[in-house]
Amino acid sequence: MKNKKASLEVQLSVVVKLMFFALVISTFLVMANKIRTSELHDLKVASRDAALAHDAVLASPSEVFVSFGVKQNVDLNVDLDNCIVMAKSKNKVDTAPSNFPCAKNSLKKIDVAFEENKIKISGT
Amino acid sequence: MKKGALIIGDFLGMILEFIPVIIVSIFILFVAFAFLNEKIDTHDIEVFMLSRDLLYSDSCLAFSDDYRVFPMHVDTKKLDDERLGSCFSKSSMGFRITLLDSQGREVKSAKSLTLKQEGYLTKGASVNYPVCKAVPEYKCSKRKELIVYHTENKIQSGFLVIEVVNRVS
Repeated sequence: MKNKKASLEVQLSVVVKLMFFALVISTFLVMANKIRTSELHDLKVASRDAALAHDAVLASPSEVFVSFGVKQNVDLNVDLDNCIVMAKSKNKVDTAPSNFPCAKNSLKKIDVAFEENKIKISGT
Repeated sequence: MKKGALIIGDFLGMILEFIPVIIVSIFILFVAFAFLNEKIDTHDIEVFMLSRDLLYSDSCLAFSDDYRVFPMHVDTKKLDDERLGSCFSKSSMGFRITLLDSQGREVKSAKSLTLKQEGYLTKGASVNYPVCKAVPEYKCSKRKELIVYHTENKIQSGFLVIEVVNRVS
């Protein structure tokens, strides 16, 4: 009877240890999957790039047109009313979107257009 | 007494077994946290953009006549709070502008700041922005530009001091 109780205790401690190891390994795998690609970094850079390009167009004393490419996995959007650049992932992997504010000038008109993997910003 | 010592021994043994796992877990969490919260510091370039916007665009402070815009020439008539608010507004940024003559005396000043931002950008403090320094979420800086300014009938050289508070995280 005593031996049976002791063996149960040992089994229980082994199960607890295994569960703990499984938790650590699964956390590691989830994190590794998130870090595996540089997607999060791409999104952060793309949103900042576009917002700063928008601000540079705004600063120009005359008419200017800027066009530059963005990475294929990045989906860019600009909310001109609140002036926020939003970068989302085109892939199915759940990466948090990155938002970055741009500058608003109510006395100047800025147009933003998107073509395949290109953003075009013009100011008059 | 013997049973108690056994329990303590078991407990210590378990802790010793788990120490490597705990160390590895903390390391993984630390690396993952650092990666996911990676900061891309754009404060300096944002301040530079603001200064170009103010000094190059005739919708901001740049002097213009019927033919062209004069970058780095400040039209003192345009230097007021209302104009600044409409020519450059960014949700994360506030700024104060002070026009100084060549002797360093204040000529005119204007700002585009919320009440909270004004608290961070203390004017005339002996140490530069003590409140701003205490809050890591915000970054404050000062930029001084050599400019030419136009008053009603005179053109003079002077400095434009741009003080900026920016939410960086």
